[in-house]
Amino acid sequence: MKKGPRLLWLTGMLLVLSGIWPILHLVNRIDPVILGLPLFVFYMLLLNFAVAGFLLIAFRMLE
Amino acid sequence: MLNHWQIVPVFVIGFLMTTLYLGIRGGRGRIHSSTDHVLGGRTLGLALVFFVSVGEIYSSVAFLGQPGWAYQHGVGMLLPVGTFIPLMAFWLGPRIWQVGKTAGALTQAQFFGARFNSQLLRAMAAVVALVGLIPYMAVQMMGGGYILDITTRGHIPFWLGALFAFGVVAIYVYSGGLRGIGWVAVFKGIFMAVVGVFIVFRVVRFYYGGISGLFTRLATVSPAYLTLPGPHHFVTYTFWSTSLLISLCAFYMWPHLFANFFAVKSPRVIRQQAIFLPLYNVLSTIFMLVGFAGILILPSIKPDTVMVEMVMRVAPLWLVALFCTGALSASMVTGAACSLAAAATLGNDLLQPQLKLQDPELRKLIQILVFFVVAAAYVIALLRPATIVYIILTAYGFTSQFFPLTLAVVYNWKVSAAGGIAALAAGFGVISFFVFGPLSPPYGIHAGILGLAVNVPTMFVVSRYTLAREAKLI
Repeated sequence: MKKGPRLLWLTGMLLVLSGIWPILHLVNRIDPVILGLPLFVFYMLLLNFAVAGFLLIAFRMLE
Repeated sequence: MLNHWQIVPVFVIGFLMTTLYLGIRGGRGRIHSSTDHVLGGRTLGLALVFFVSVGEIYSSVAFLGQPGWAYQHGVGMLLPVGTFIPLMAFWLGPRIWQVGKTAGALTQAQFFGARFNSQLLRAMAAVVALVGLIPYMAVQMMGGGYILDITTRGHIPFWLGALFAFGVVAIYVYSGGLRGIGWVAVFKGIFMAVVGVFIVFRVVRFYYGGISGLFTRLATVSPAYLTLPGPHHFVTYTFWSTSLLISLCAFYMWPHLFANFFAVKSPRVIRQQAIFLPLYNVLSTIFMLVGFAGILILPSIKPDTVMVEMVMRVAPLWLVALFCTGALSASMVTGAACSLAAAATLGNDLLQPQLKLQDPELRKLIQILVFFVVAAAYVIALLRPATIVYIILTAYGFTSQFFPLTLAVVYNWKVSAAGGIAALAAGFGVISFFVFGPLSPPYGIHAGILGLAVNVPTMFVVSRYTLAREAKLI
């Protein structure tokens, strides 16, 4: 695998890992409340935007 | 002046007629072959592919079931499957598209059968597909039937609501195929986003003054709902992590989602739509807010009814009616896609190898089978079996067992047909043991993960001893 695709693959794996244990343990709390949302809820919403941003970058790299 | 229960059917009938028109018009003059009917001629562009995807992903479960789970288990329902599955689409979708195009595959079962030159593997995949798809369709029908039954206070009974909604589905799938489903999905996707979000914010604002007020009160009164493992200690870290991983493996292995990749005009479009999917997923998180809102307002109701109950308490009649049509449309698009995939699998993978029809006859057969599979699902829906949830959960575990075999195909691993069949049989056996047998999976690990743990080594070990012999035979 070339360097670019390998980097994308690793970043994708890291993103998935950020949604499971043990990272989950760090964000599994109510405080601090961000934009009116408990930390856990805010983090789960943020992941959506992180994945969309990552895929946009990956698309630009591959196309 | 119309009564409450009469307003809902007026909106619903208007909506059903619109979907019928869109569904039939979507395929008019464009269906000349089985590929045109089942895969939209392999020419679907970004808008249709995106809305077909979100239509299939966010079924009535997103509208009714997930708020119910949030009501029952709190933030445990935020399991980010919808967040991460676009990564799988981006990674595997273009590869599946390429192999599917080369093999001329209409269905997932044909994809495996063609790659391994095995009729047995094709039939096995087809049977598993039908076992998963028909009960899944039945669940969507049950959702549609319940919505009309509850909101018309029983004037449109469950059996009639389900029959009417899925009668319309059968007609437009018969007539318009995937392209018809696509245009209905565009309508539904926009409708659900606008109406659903408006209703959710209205409910939250009415009871709590806003999202911030909702979470502040919940954090004060019932903080257990805002962290894992939730109030009933159900969503542990192990359950969360293994459920997420198995969902990522299984998700695109569902036959109707898998075959969607074949329908796209280029791999570039698959990647483009994957970028937008996580943004639409934010919507499903927004729907769950109603579940959180219901925790303090309606402390002891059936979880699945929380959305309907909250909306009926807050919204005016016309908005309740619009909500009903949105929820109904969610169940119908998913049901339509499943009915098309099931009819295509039954016709193309189980009957066609015996009948050996010409393509126009095969297309006609698949179109007629749409009515047959919808009728089968309707019978299951009427029986309302208590085990239907188990059937679907098992089907989810079963479909995940196709994941290693899919990787073997798209990466051209040295795997034989015998290796693939043995791997699937081993994986299915392990899941069946833990789902139907006397023992539960240890440490709350998802049975699908245990199935994969046996599936993968079996695939390589059996292939090692059978690959050379199969190569000689070919």
